[in-house]
Order: sequence, then structure tokens, then C-alpha cells
Amino acid sequence: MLVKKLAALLRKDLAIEFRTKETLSVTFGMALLLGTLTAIGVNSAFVSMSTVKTIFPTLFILTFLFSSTLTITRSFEYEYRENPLQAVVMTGVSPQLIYLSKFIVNSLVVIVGLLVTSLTLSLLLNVDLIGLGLSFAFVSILMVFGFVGIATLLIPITFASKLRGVILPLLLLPLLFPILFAGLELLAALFDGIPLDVTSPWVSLLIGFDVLYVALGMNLFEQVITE
Amino acid sequence: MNQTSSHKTILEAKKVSRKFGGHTALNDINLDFDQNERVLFLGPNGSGKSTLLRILAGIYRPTSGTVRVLDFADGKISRKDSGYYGHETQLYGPLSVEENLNLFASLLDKTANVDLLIGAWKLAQYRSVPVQKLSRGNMAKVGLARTLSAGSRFLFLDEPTTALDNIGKQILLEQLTNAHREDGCTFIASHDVRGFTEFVNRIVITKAGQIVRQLSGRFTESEILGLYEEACL
Repeated sequence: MLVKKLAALLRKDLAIEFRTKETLSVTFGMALLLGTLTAIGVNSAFVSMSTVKTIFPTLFILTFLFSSTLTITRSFEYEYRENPLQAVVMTGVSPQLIYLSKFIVNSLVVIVGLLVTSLTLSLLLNVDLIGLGLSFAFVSILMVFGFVGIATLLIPITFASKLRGVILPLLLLPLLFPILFAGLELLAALFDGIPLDVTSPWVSLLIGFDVLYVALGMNLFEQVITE
Repeated sequence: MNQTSSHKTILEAKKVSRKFGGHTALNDINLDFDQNERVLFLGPNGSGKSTLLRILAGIYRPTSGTVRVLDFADGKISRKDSGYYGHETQLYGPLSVEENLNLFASLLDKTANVDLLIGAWKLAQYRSVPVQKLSRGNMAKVGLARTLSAGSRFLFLDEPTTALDNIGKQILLEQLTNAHREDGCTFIASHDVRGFTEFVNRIVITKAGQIVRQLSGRFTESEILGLYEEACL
């Protein structure tokens, strides 16, 4: 029964996203624009290739974070326009399922933004990401899950706030420090040619915060969306 | 107007107050509702009708006081037993009429007879149209179809006739009569009182966040209009 309800919510969230393409297109455009601007900025500084490689993880994470934070709020736009979210809650469906469905669809959209950011920066800064292969993808996706896990919980708060446009970064960024720090350490090691060790404390920290934020989201989402 | 004999009380609001910042929307409300009551809330704008409906429906929590369903062990009104239609249509704009009705039926574990619903509300030609492209009146019909098809024990309708044409109002009355459960209650807040003459059996008048008068029984149209004018004075 729960699976059937989750499937209904997922169908709804995916249908809205792919029909309107709003969050997806804004994420795509923002990632492309910010990636290009960052690359132009770095290229105009005429820094050496080794310096580019050293600062690449920071540039990548900041560009991804900035574009995703600006666009992810849109994922709840149709939940509050005419307020169908309230009607969904009134059906008695578990708020945890509503959260889970949003988490899955938001993760997919943010992964698209991540792909665009990494491709843009990699092409314009001439940095080979294919050589880093699955390790780069693994770390990036772990960062996405943590980011989306906590952002999906916080977005409904922004709709109740007068500071709607700016409140999300203020709430979100401090909570992302552990994820960004662990991601940065792991990516920097990869660019230094150190292979990814899945038993490293940074991987554990990243996975730990992913689990923590998704668990927090599942448990606190009801309080956030009701009243 | 004749007094009806009292039935089994199923919903009780005790000393309910609700504040929004410094503004008191409801002040020390005490109300009991029997099963099979069809209640019309009358009152001027800002008298607290919508807030009271939302508190009874379990959407808002009262600042103080309690709302209890007396035959439930924990006394809490369950969301599933509460069908609410408010000032917003509560529909997903990019989804079609059919997709919206199917979605809510799935979430309620029901097999919606969407064909029947769409036929009853005269929405056949809009079946595949995204709700956001409908007129306000047709959107309201879809929203009301969603609320009234849920089989909820308690129905809460806030200004349900807004944007409906005369045919829409007739359909609403028919569907509302079918949807009302004798083991539950239906609550309506409306300024369009004519349409509900045959339906309601209790009138509650609110003013400045307080209950100023309550009447039970059957009412004629002129009696309801008289009460409405009195309420809005």
C-alpha cells in the first residue's frame, strides 16, 4: 500500500517536473551560466594548469552549490500555488512518503545540474574528469544526497517566510559545512592522484550526514508542512 | 425555525481561541456538534468563520482550547476523516482534471469512478485539460469533486459557491447531499446562503471571533436571509 502511494506521489512529481520543465530548465541554465562565468574568471587570471587542478574541487563545489541552492526552491512551487499540498496531507498519506518522493525527484534534478556544472567546468578549464571516473561520480552523488536531504526539509519553511528568496541559503549553508568539507577533501585527494578509499573517515562522514539529513527530513517534514 | 431534539454529540470544541500575532481571530469558542448535523456558519468578513472551519478540520491548531472527536479513543480528528475545501482549489495546475482526481483517489486508497465524477460535475470536455488552463469556476468544480468524492466523515466547505454558476451551484447541492454522512457532520461557511436552505439544519452566527447566536432546525429562505442580514449588521 505504501509503495502504491509513493508511486502515485512520484508519478505526480515527475509529471509536473517533466511537463513544466521549470526546475530542470532553470537548474540547467544556472549551472551552465555559473560554470561558464567561473571558467572565464579563472582563465582570465592566467593561472597555471596545476593551480587550476588544485582549485578545481573548490570551484566545482561552489558552482554546483550556488546554482542548486538558487533553483531547488522551485520544486515546491506547485505545492503552494493553490495549496494542493494541504489536500495531499488531508488524505492521511504519510508525510514521510511526500518527503521521499520530493527527495527522489529533487535528487534527479540536482544530478542534472551537477552533470552540466562538471561538463562545463571540465571543458572550459581543460580538466580531465573522465580519468577520475566513478570515484568522482561517487563523491559528487553522496554530496547531492546530503544537500537534497536537508534542502527538501527546509524549502517549505521558505514559503512561509517573507524572506522567501534569501532565507534558504541562510538556513542551508551552515548545515552543509560538513558535507562540503568532506566532499572537498575527497575531491582534492582524487585530483592529487590518490585513489578513493571507501573506508576513509571523509567517506564515512559524508555518508553519515546523508543518512542524518534524510532521517531528519523524514521525521520533521510533517511539522514543517503542517501549519 | 423549530428546535430539533439532541442527538449523539460527536465533535466538541472547548474554550477554543486562536491568535495570529497580536490579532485574536477566535475568542473562547465553545461548540458541540451532533452526528448528522449540517451546519452553516454566518458572519461578516473577518468574523472568524474560516479560522473556525480550519481549526475544526484539524488544519490549524488552536492557540488555546481543544477540539475533540468524542467517539475516537485519542479524540483527535484524523486527516482522513476530514474533507476540506477552502479558498484555494488545492489542485495541481499542470495535471489534468482526470490526473488530479486519480491522484487523490490513489492517496485515499480508493478506486475513483472518475468517469462518474466527471459526468456528474459536467466536466467531460475538460477531462484531459491541465487544471491551470480551466476557468476559475471549472477549477472550483474539480476541487469540490475531489473533496466530496473522498467519503470523509466530516466535511468542511469554505465559500464553496464562489466562482460557480447556477448550474454549478445545483450540482454542488446534489453532490453535497450525497457526500454528507449521517454518522458525521458537514460544515459550510458562505455568504451565498440561498443555495443551502434545503440542506442545513443548524446555523451558527459568528461576530468578532465569537459565537453570537445558534439555531437548529429547518429554515426557510427568508429566515436564513434575515439571519444573514442580522449577522452582517
